[in-house]
Order: sequence, then structure tokens, then C-alpha cells
Amino acid sequence: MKYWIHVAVIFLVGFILCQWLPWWVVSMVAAVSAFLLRSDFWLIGMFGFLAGFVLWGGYAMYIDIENQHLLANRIGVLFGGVSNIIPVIFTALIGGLLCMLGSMLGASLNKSFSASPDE
Amino acid sequence: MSYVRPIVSFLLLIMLILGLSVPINMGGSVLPPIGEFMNPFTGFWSNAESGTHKNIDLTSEKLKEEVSIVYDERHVPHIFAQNTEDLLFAQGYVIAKERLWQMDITTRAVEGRNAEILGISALNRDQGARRKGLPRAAKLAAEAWGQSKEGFQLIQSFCDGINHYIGQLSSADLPLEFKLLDYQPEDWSPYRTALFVKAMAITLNSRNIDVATTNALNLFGENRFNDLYPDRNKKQSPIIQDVKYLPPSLSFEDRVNQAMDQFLNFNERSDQEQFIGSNNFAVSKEKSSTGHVILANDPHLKLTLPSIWIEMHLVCPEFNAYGVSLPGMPGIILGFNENISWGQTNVGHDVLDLYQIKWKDDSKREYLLDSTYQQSEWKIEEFRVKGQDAVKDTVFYTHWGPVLEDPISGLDLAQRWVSLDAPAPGEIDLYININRAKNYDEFQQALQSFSTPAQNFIFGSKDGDIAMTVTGKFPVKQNQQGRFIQDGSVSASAWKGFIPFDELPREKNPIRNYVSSANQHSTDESYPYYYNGGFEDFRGRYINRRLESMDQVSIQDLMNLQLDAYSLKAEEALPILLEHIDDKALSLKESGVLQSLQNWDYVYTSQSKAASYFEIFWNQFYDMVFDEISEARKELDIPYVEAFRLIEMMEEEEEHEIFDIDSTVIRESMSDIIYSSFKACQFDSIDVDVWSERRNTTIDHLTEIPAFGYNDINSPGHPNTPNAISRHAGPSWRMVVEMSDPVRGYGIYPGGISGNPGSPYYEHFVEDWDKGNYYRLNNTRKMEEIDVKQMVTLKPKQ
Repeated sequence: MKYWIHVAVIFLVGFILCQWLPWWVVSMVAAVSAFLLRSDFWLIGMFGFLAGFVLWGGYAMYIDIENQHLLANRIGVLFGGVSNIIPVIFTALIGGLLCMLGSMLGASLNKSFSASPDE
Repeated sequence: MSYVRPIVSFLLLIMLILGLSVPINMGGSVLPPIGEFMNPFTGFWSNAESGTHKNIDLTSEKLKEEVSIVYDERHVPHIFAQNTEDLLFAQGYVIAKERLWQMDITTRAVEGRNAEILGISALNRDQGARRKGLPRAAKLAAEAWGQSKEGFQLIQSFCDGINHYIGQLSSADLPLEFKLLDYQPEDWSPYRTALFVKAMAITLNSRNIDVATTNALNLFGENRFNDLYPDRNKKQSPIIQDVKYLPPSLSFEDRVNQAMDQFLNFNERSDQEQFIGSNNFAVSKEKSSTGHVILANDPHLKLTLPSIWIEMHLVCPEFNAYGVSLPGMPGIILGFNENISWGQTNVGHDVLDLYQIKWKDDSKREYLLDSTYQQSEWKIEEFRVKGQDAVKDTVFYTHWGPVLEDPISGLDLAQRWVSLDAPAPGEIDLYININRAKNYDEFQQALQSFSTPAQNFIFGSKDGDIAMTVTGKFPVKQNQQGRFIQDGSVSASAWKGFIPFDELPREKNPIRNYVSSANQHSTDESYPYYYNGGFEDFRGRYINRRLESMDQVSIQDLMNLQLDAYSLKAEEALPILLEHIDDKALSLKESGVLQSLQNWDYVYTSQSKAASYFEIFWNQFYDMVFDEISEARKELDIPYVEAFRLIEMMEEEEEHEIFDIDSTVIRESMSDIIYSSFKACQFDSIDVDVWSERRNTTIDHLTEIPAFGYNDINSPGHPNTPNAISRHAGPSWRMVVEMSDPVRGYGIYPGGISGNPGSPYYEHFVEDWDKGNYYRLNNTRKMEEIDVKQMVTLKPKQ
């Protein structure tokens, strides 16, 4: 359940903060969420990736469909003649990686703090 | 406890963020920092527009009353304001909203500041712009405009509107090109508008072949030079006809004295060779089928995306004007209001001359003038360069203008160019005054402040007047002055003042019931002032012939004339060429080509193969005739002989020595050259594309990024036909206006309103333009008669 909460937090808080703050803020959202949720390092990383991938990729895909692929086609040509879906996937991958590494950082920090100083 | 995982995760995350935060060099082109660029919330994705726009409400303390901006189904902005200042504020806002990056890059190039954003590769061009004195001339212009109190207030309102848009831009709304090049827009000012005016002057008015003609004179000698490069075509059909001119108002000597007084305070000029042309024509109410004046204009410029023009409709109590604006200048530049219509074509007069400077020594601090040494002025220019240290360069100015080194001869040549002089203060609101004008007299009054780039202003009115005025600041020259490099060490080489406004070539309601211009010579030889320079006149002669033969002219007739792809050059040259080809000596395939040419109607339709055959044949023939010039051009810049002169020789001077090929021992005749050139085309072995494929017209983005351009143009036409389309240039705005009540206007340009490559309104007129369609221009004063798709309301701040 908490992994899905993690996904929801990234969706909601990430979506809001990304409107104004620098693009990498989404990884900070993932880190804080993972830190608070006390979760498994690898699992939270996977869910983080999924959340970031869907948030960035999904939003890009929504814009692309509304735009009838006009700009994504042009950017595809600019990036070496690839189709409009490649910029969407590339965007999704960046979002996914940012949230994955952020989640892993948060989870591992939590572990380190909660393990010390008594252990 | 373990710190390995947090440390590794932290380092990987930091590496990812840093890696996505730096520009990436990919095979010479630099991509922006990928993280920010791909961010779907503020990166390039936020420039992908859906085509439906929300209404916007904005406030500004600079506004006096409420302004409504209504976008119609073609996204054309109709601006309704309650006073002229507010109108221009809103126009500035709209232009910035649609074209901010275009405004920035156009003026930045003139200012010599592209290296700041593009890096070292742009430094040479930047240095060129500063050496030509362009930023300095723009400063002079802005200062001159400041003397016109009312005009300056209007330009200030226009700038305020632009800056209001820039001020409220979020990083997500930043135009795509700013994101790609990773920089921010700067505030606009009258100085930047002046830079824009200079950009137009460079495009239209800086043609210069003085070095090339001097080389040709030295190489061929005076007789042969005059034979190959005559000033005029005997068959000319000038713009202004049947006018009896009075002698010049001042004697030549008076002018020299007057000019010398001003002379030492003078400024600069520049050069660039481009072939730009345009058409405009109007028929009187007597010649029109509806009893109203009909006026047409199609300026031929380099076709780009975003388009050089932006269509709009400006309404305020003083006027209701519709047409196209330039993204950086206030008012409607080409268009119509409720009483008059106007258009422009470029004037080809040479207004840029080169003067050879004799320095006292290598320090270039002093130069010879009339046997004394004068101090040169020098300025150290600093160029900021992206990614590296700033570079410095010294620019030298003489009283002739800034000094440039000719790259081939190494000569130091000072440039005297009218566009570097301070303009009349009234230049700033000239187009507003045209927008306000209700009749011929008010139109002429407005034109008085026009200086450069010189234009043939066409005029039509509801009153029934048609007129043409060759307008601009034209130097008074001696015969042949300015065709060659001039001696900069004597003040007698100077221009002798300028032709007074009242003595400019003009005509109103001529007896032939039409006026027209297509960049040919302005007048016949009876005009009392000498001028040189101009363009091939095939279009002009053909258009005049067509207009002469037309009666009961309709709007559709003038549209058809704009779209006409008939070549007078082919009509004159091809029959002579064909006469000299013996078809018995040809292969089967060559006979087919010959037959195709014999059947050709001289129309450059997109599917015509004959048009392509003629182009190949003509170019081959031309090169063989002028083998001397081709040979000399390997080492020297020599001008090409104009086609009209070759046709004249074909018609009247078959025995001319130019038809002999220098490198052979036998003496070739014209007939030999025609036959050899036809054979040399190798029609036997080549596959020839249909005309539109051979011409291969593309509309490039201003950065020439192929992804942002348009390359599927199939229109008929050739640079010598009324529909003058070449590989990169063509009719940049086609307009036909009937001066009925209400006025009926039609127009189209190959682009769209938006400058954003991610907008559906970026290129959405191109397909219709390519097909030769026109849009009805809705110039109603009633907002409810517009199909409103988006509304922007600007309100004064309480």
C-alpha cells in the first residue's frame, strides 16, 4: 500500500511543484516521500521509477496528443529524424530515473538514520 | 549501519542532475541542457499548443482605457482600442506574444551580438555588422525620432506593450528558440525598433557591386565595359511614364557647396548582394469592372518561417487599418484603411558607394582628404562570446563612413550608405500617419518623412485616385558616379546632396488608367537626375503589357496577374535559340526536348518539363557566351551581364565578338554557340525534373533548422515571371484591394500568425498560398462581425 502512496505523492506533489520549481524538484519529492515512508530500497526505487515515468511521460503524451504531434514531430527531426513517440519516451525516462534515484536516496537515508546510533 | 547506499544514491542522483544541466555538443551543434528542455511542465513541451486558447485578462498602468484583442478563426488579431496610444501598446503586446524570438534575433544580428548566444561561429558576422556601423546608425535613428514628441510617445507605447508581454512571461511561456539556445529575452526600446528598420535596409537597400564593376572596367576597358553592362534596356517600360520633368531646382554647383557643408558631419553604410523584387499595380475606376479603384501588391522577399509579415487589424477612433506589420515596427506597413490602400516595391537605385581611403600610415589614425590629413574616428568594439572570453575589434570611421577592408584586394574602402544617416524625426510615426491618411494629399504628407530603404509607394483611394511615388533619400550624382570604387581622398567625389521630395519621380491618375512597378527603372532618360542600379525588367515590361491590354479589370484579374508564371525572357530568347538548332543533327531524345521547347507557351507551371529544359539550355548558353567572364570570375569578382543585354545582342548583333570562345582557334558564331550549348546540355543522358522540383523552393526557419521549415512548395513561377518564386524567395504577401464602400480586401502570405513551431498557426497559410488562394480580409469596425476564437482584454490598472 505504502508504495502506491509513494506513487500518489509523486504524482500530486510533483505535478504541483514542477509547475514553478526547477525540473529536478521531482526527485526531491520522491526522496522526501521515500524517507518518510520507511520502505524497501529496491522496491521504492522501482515504484519511484514508475511514478516519474508516468508523470513526465504521461503529461508529455497528453500535450502531444492535444498538439496533434506537431511539435514532437519537429523535435524528433531535430534529434536525428526519430518519430514523435521518441521524445515522449525520452521525457518519461528522465522523469523515471530522477524519481528512482530520489526514492532510493530517501529510503537509504531513512535506513541509515533509523539504524543509528544504537545499533 | 551502512552509508554506502545513501552515498551511492546521492552521487548517482547528483550526476544525473548535473549531466542533464549542461549543454550537449552533438556533432557541431549544441543542444540545450536536456533536463530543463525535456521537462514537460516548462520545457519545450509547454510550447506545444493545442490550437484552442483561453481568454486572457491583463492590466497595465500604461493603458488609459480598455483594449480588446480578438483572434479570429485564422488566429488573426483584431485590436479594438479607444485611443491611438493604447492601440499601439496592444499592437506591441500582440507582436511580442506571437513573434518575440524573431524580434530578438533579427535585431541582435544587426547589433552584432549573435556570438553572445551562438558562440564563436557567429563572431565574424557580428564583427561585420559593427564594422558597417549598424548599431551606431540605429542609435542615431532613435535619437532623431526623439525629436518628434508625438511620434516618440507612440513608439514608446508600442515598446511598453512589448515589455508588458516580456514582463509577465513565465519560463514555461518562453518561446521555443530561447529554450533551445538557452537565453532570455531583453527589454525592447525604440533603439531596437531602429535596429529592425536597419535590418530591412540591409535586405532591400544595400546591394552593392562597386568592387565588381571596378574589376570589370579594369579588365575589359571602357568600351567593352559599356557594351556589356549598359545602364538601361532599350525596351524599358519605366515605372513613371509620360511625365514632363522640370530642370533640377538647384544647380549642380549649388548642391556641391550645400553638400560639403553637411558632408563632414556625415556617417556610414554597408553591403550585401541579394536579388529581391516585388510587384505592385493599380487600375483606375475607369479601367475597373466595378467602377472602383483596385490595387494589388506582392513584395518578393526571402521566404522564412516565421514569416517576415504578421497580418493584423488595427481599430481606433482615428483609423481602421488592415494589412501586414513587421515584427518590430508600429502600424500597418502594407494594407488599407476605410479610404485608401497602399503598397510598396523596392527601388533598385544604388544608394551605397565605396570610397578608397589613403591612410597616412598603418596606424590608420589619419587619412588624406583634399591634400590635408584628417583624423579618423575609431571605436573599440567588444564582443561577448558564449563559452569564451570577450573579443575586441577596432572600427575606423571617416567622414565618408565606416571603413571595411575588401577581402580580395585588401583595399580599405569607406562606405557611404544613406541608411546610416540619421532619418527625419517623422520617420517614427510615418506608417501611423499612412494608416490615418484619408486621401492622396495626406498620404503624400506622410511620405515626406520616409528616407530608406527607398520604395515605390503605390496608392489607391475610394475617391478614385491612383498614384505611384518613387520615395526615399536619393543622392544626387554625376553621370556614372557610384558605379565604381571612388577616390576617397578628394571631397569632390562626394554625393551632391539629395533629390528634393517634390522632385521625386511620381505620377497621379495617368492617362493610361493604371500605375505599376516591378523594380525596373523608375523613369525614362528625361528625368533630370542621374541614378544607376536596378533589377532585370522582364516582370515590369510584361506586367505593363498585360495591364495595357486589359479592360474591365476585376479583383480576380489582378489576382491572376500576381499568379501569372509567363516569362517574357523566354518569349524573347527561346525563338532565337530554336531557330539556330538543326534538328537533323540531334538524337531521338534531343529531338524530343527540342519539340517540347518548340511547343512551350513560356509559362513556368509546376509540372512543366519544358521550363526546366529552357533553364538548363539558357544557363549553358549564357555560360558559353560569357566564357571570358566565367574565366575571370575564378580570380576576381566580376558582375554578370544582364540577360536583357544578351537577348539584345542575339536580336541585333549576331556578329558580336562575345560569341567567340576565347580558348579556341576558330571564330565561333552565335549559331555555333547555340548549337554547341544545346548539345552540351547532354539531354541524352540526364533526367530532367519537372519545374517545381528543379526549382526546389523551401521556406526555411530563421535558424535554418530543417525541422522547423517547410519544403513542399509546388507553385508555378520563376524570378522573371510576375509570380516571382525562386529557391528561397517569393511573394511574401499577396494583397488585392478594391476601394469600394466598404473596402474589399484579399490577402495571404506563406506562413502564419504565430512564430512558434509548436503552434497550429505557425505555417497554416502556406498550403493555401502555394495553391494561389487568397483570404478575405475582415476589416469591420464591429467586433460582433468577427468569428471570435480567443479574446485578450487589456485594462488600465486602477
